[in-house]
Amino acid sequence: MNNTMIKITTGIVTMLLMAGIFVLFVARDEPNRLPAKEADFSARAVENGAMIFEANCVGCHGVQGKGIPGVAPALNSPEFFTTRLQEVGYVGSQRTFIESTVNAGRPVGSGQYSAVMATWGQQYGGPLRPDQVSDVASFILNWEATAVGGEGQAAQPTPTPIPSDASPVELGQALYTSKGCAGCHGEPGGAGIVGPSMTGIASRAGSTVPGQSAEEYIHESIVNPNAYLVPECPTGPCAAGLMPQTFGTLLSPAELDGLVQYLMTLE
Amino acid sequence: MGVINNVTQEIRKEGLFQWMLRQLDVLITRLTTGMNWNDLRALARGDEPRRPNPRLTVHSESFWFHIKPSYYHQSVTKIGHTFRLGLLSTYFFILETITGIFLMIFYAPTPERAYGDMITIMTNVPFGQFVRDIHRLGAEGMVIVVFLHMVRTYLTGSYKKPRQFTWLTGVVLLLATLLMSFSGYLLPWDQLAYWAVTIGTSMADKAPLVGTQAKLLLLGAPSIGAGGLLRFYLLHVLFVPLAIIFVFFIHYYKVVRVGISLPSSQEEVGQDTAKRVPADKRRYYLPDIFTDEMVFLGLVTFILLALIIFGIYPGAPLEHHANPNKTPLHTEAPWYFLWIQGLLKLGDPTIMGVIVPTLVFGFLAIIPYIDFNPSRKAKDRPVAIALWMLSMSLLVVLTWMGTPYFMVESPPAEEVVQIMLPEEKAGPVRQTDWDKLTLGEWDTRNDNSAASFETQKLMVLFADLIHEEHMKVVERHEEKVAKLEKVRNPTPAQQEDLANLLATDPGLPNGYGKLIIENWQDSLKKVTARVFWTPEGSTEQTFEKTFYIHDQADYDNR
Repeated sequence: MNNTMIKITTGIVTMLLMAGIFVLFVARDEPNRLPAKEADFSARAVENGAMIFEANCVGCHGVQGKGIPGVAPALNSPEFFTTRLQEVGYVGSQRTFIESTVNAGRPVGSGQYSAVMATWGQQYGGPLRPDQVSDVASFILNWEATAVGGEGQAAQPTPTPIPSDASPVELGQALYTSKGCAGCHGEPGGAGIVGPSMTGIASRAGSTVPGQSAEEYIHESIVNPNAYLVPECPTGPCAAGLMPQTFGTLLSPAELDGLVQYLMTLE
Repeated sequence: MGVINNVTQEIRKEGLFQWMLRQLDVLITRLTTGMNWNDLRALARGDEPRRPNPRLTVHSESFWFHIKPSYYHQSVTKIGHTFRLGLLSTYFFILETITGIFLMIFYAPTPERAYGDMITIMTNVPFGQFVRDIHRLGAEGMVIVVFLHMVRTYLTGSYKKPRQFTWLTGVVLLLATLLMSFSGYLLPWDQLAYWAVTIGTSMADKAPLVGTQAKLLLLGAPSIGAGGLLRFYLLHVLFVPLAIIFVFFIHYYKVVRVGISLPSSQEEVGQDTAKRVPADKRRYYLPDIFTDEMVFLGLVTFILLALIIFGIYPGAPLEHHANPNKTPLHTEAPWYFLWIQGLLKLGDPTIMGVIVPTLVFGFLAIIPYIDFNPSRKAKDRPVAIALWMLSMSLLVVLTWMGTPYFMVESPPAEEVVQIMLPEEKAGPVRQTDWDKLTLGEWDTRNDNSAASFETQKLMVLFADLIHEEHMKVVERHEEKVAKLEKVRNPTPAQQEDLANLLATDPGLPNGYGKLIIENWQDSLKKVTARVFWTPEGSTEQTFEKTFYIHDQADYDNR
């Protein structure tokens, strides 16, 4: 064998062997790698969705999607995964139900819940990109295992029990949390989220609308939010109709009174 | 009927088998444009060709072989003379074309689809990730090889007369290669892509006079969006490749026309004998060089694939979906542009980001026309060699300056959390076995023995990081103080700076950290990292960041 022969043989044998072995190497792993990779990216979608949910949804749907009674439904309940689609007469999948509701909001209100589901999808004027909506849906769907599997039964929303002998202020404070006021107006003493902050409301209320006392003003703002709109909300000028109009009928007169009295303590 | 009669007569005369063999030989001769079976056999055996030499017929008759010279001077065929870097650049271009077409099949350049398509390529296309890794490694390899090709040409002085124009087209090809890499960078539409290209295009914006227009032309809008993605895609798959092919053929024609320059030791100064090859110095393309090249490229392919399959090359990354509202803590240009990022840190973006790089490439292009030294011997070119050494050192230093290690002062608490739980990639917390992240509130000041060993290790690391970042700030202060003390008459502003050092940048005094791990959902844990510190004479400060970690997420494996 001379030099050329050796080179040709080595070259060709190397190339063929290499191509064959490497492709086989990859091919051997592909059937396992693809599903593993898919699980990896599905998991990342859940992680992303959790971040987005935390930042945008807990105000109304509660921490861990437990829901806030009277404000917005729980998303981690068995009912949500088993009967909700039938109730509303939706024929698509659970995922498309969630995605379309997040995207386009709820065109029809429900008497049960006071908060309005906003249009979150970018194509409907909201802030979320399509991939983000899809990630949120992945996160919500990830509750299905615990909700339907039995472990998550305890995660049903339970209204904070209000002691029957509570003073009006205590009653109002409990309502502020349980009716989801904090979802938009922020925790007492903190900054507002969508609506104006309630910090110092007692000191401002008396002078906001001429001729109205502080109590009258607060009362009217709860039962008829559009009567007077303060100019500045955290996200820009306050919009009419943003705050649910139904608190007047949802709350009993005693509850309304308690809420007003509680707010009057926030100086 | 005459034809059939002839064939029948031939078969009768020769016998069917012999006749078929002869026809096969004719076919082989046609396919090889001139060599029959015996010629091929002689070629493979390394025998002398018959006369007239059929191997030369191949060069005159076949399109692909006519591009190649039929023989080279034996001195230029040694691997140590050219390292075959030009061939290698071409190889990478072809490799990128093949893998690129594969990827194009599964990819649509719109913001709504691009990132999802990338995930599909990684999760649902057999060999998808493999091909993507080759494409990415090939792109980086091509930048390196084209760069080395120019370094070799510079060091052997091969750009000198009569090869000035070859060099000039080479500079154009270098620019096109960089543009190719850069335009491909945006296509995955992840955070890495979005922000690296944002840096790049903001530089275009800074170009004098035409800047704003140039950026608009590139992006179709003031910032990167659907228009920018489509334009980068078209640049990447159509415009730049066509430009490369166009310039490549000019470049290669020149290479063949004037020949590859001989080692300078074999020629008198000013002489160019590349095209006058004495008969005894010839090495013919067929079979010697051809087999050399094939073995060489075979080995390169072998190494490339081995790097990917054995995980030595970490693989093409895919970060989170591009998010214009969320700037990463550290945005870094691709490594081959870090030197520009380094320049940008030094001064005015118009000068450092546009004018200096333009001058650099402009200077590169005109080197052959301003270098009047006729000698290609290194010992006769002290200035040229010194200039090379200087620019290589500068390149290394500027590249280092482009990384976040230089002149980037991010708040230490943020830096600690970024190391523990980076926005992208794995980081120590995600690398910890998911089951071993013990639920609870863990504090670096406490004894965390109730936690798993792995979680305890994280807490030790957490404490170390807080200390380390604090010490960095302390060192920073000491440097500043030392510098100001050298100033003989500090201005009031400088004195105020010194006095305010601790107030504006206290570091993490009395720092400690907490890791709060909660069970959040099926296979999902919520991890909150909090850093606390108390500057002198102030109340406790805190920084916190929340992450969710899914059992199945595997950031380690990209």
